[in-house]
Amino acid sequence: MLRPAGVLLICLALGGLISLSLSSRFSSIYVGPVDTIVESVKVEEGRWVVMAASVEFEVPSMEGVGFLVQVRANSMEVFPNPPTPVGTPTPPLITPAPIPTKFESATLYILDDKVGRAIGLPWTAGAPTTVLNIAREVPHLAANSAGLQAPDWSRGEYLEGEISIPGEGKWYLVFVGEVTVDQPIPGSGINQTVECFVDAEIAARVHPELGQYLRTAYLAGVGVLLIALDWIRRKGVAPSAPS
Amino acid sequence: MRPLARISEYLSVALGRYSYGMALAALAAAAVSGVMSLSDAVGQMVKTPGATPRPAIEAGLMFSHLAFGMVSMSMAGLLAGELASEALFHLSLPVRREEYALAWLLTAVWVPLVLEIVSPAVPLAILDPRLITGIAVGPMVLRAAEDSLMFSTILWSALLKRKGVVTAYGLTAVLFLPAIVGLVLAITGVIWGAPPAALRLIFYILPATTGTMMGGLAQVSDGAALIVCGSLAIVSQLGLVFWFRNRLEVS
Repeated sequence: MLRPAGVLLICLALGGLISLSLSSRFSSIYVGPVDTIVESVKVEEGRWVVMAASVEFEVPSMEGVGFLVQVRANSMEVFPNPPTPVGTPTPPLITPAPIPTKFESATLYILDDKVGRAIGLPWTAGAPTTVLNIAREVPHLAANSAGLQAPDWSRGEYLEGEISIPGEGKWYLVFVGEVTVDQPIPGSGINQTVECFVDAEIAARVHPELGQYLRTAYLAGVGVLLIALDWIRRKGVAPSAPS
Repeated sequence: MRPLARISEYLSVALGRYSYGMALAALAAAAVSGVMSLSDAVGQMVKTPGATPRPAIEAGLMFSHLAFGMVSMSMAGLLAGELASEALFHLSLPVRREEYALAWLLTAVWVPLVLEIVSPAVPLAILDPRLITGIAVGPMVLRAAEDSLMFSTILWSALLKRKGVVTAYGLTAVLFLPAIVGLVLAITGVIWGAPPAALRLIFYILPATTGTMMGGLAQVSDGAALIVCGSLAIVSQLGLVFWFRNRLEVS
């Protein structure tokens, strides 16, 4: 029974190592979505800041596993909203054509729970009016940040990027993007709104480290030991050859 | 010689014939189930308010179930062959019929069952031992109860002393049954909106399979399913021991 048990342990160790190796070759393991609330602010004529803040999420400490947030945002589009004349019936809903925007910058930030709460996160009752101030403060408060590459919105590309979560604990994700409009915007009396959807998902990446290799070696080592014990036992039982 | 020693002695003979097959099944289950279990287990550890509850390591256990279902079927095939030819030789040795039955229950039901649960758990323990204590054990217990019943019925089929029958029944029970159950539930769901009461029994007899397929839609208490399925497994295995003791005829 010792030898089969030893072979079994070696096979289990090998299988474990193969599964870790396969998992680490995946780009990432999908964990789950994180809700975000998006708010846009007009800074000056032709310039908007879009900010999205997530709900609080908690990641554990796990050996050999790194967590990250993957973010995907569609193009930030400016829509003119013609004023509704007072006292007249509501006109039929016509979706206005969006005004093309030019991507300026986008950055992801990870804030720990204390810092996040200090600046008013999560936005359970909608975004506060101080969004622009928060957007200015965030770069100095963040535990980690990552810039996003400019997408080609004319080709339907999404603004995509990821940011690693520094470690165990409760965190918030904050997205700050900036767009400008090149062309002249319709004159006074017409409001504009910026539309943007920011989806965030938590993912994990497996990176086997020394600890994992040691545990595998330990399991395989016990298997080899059992096989060796079986070999010694058989050698002891077997009758010695006549001289 | 004590009964335990006699069982152990015969167990080593029975297991020895297929030990490397079991080791290979464990390797495959650890490698493939491990990948699925890792992603599920890691996902369970992260807490987000918007995230939907994730299954435990059900998907990983499903592959492990297939691998060790094949092992259990092979072991039952060995018993069928032995009953048809050389069982009289073994039973003429100082081993009682109950001990012979217990040794085969261990070989074809309990050892594959333990390895089925352990194999997907090994990669988790290698990655981080804390994962083992952090994952939900409910689906594992249901899977263990269901397979302890299913594997014992495969062993029952060995009493017909025909390897072909064991193979046909084993393949049906392990490979095709989940597909058949899924199809029947889907058809009844389309026709009546919900499975009829008689068919709902299947949720209690195969709680892990139906749970994997239907998730929360099964609407069956895990505790009730465990009691029904576990009781059937115990009755099936005790019945097997009594059959060996009182009714078994060997060639």
